[in-house]
Amino acid sequence: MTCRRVRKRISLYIDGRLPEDVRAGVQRHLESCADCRAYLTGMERALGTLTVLQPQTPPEGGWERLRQRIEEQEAPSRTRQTVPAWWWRPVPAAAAAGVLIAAIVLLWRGPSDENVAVVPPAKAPAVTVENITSPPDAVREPETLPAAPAASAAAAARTAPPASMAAQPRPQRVASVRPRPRPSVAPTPAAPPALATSPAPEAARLEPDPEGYLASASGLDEALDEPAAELALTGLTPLVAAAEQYMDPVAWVYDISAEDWL
Amino acid sequence: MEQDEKRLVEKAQAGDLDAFGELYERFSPGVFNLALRMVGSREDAEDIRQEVFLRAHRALKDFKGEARFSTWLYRIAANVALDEIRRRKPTVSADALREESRWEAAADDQGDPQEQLDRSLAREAVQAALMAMPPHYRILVVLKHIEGLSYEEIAAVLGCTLTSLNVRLHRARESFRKAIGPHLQGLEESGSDLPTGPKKNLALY
Repeated sequence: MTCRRVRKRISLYIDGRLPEDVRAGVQRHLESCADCRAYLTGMERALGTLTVLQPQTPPEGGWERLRQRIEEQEAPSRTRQTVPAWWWRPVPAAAAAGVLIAAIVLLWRGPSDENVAVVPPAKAPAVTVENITSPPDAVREPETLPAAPAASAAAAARTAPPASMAAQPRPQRVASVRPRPRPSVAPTPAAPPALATSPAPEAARLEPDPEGYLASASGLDEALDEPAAELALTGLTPLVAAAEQYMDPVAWVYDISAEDWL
Repeated sequence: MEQDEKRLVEKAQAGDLDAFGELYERFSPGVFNLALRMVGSREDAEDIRQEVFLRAHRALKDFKGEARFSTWLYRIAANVALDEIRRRKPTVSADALREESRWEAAADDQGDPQEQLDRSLAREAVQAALMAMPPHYRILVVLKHIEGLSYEEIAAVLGCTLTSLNVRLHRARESFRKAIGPHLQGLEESGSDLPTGPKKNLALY
């Protein structure tokens, strides 16, 4: 048995949890290897220091304070009867407000954004939810487009049939400014709102989780050391992620995947 | 003991706050000590203890009794402590650890003043080494060596396999060995009476 293999088994050796044949192999190696004996001694001395940390007595009156908080939360209140309790926590409230504002901005953002091309309803009167993926003229060069939604709406009012206007009161926005060989692929107007509501299970498949260590029972990996990377992959804002944690206080942290490199 | 615990849990689930209070008095010292060693401050540990039981009370209806109540509580405590550490990214100062050590020293009245001082320095050094570890390793060392949980109990708390725990616990201990290394010689030279072997927190089991 090599020194490397012996040292990986030292923990189990100390705790007496090795199978008898493996324990005997480690024992034989230790008898002949001074370095590994020193490693074992060092580990035992290090772990022995932990015993100086004796159990401490918690502050008095903990139950009275907790009981008061519980009773306050359970007390009937008009506002709390109509609004979920988590809403009153500052972080979820701010997250909810942020999501609401973001949704409004995404829905009402004008066509002056850099990466948004506008399809004037006048030129595409037949653009509807059903056939938006197929019109060959749907995507145009930016310079040919109206400068503002008002102009687009005015053009539509002049040329489009009233029924079409009723179905399409606002210009269609598409994701790219460049015409593509097959424009039927380009228009994906639902993409931005979908990003804001990406479900957590998607993140579980994307999470790199270099340690393979912490993951949630609900599927959302928790990378303690790299929260920013995890959030970037999920598409969730930190506030939304924090709000989700409040929703399920028990089940979100640990699920250590099986691994055996001993 | 287990039947009594089960009875209390059932009464608490039915809305009996006094029964939940009994569970609190029984299990909160263990939760407090876990939190204390995870965050290194009594004040933060007390906040975590309260938050753990507040969440436990909210989620009590979801407790199915498939695991021990203490295991379930430890799971919440580990979550809350790790969440708190991650959110705050705390850097516990040497002064804060010294202050904490003084608090513990006040309860330590055994031996002469020099021995008490040595033990106080030892506690400070060991807590500093714990705080120098990555939190996901620290929790393993705390559960095993401070709370005295068995492999099976830790695996139940963390929801992992024993095979995985074997690997992780070894890594965690290796991390602690490296962290305490610079202090080890000083501790032994100071004559700190370092007992050997982990202890069991009888308040929980």
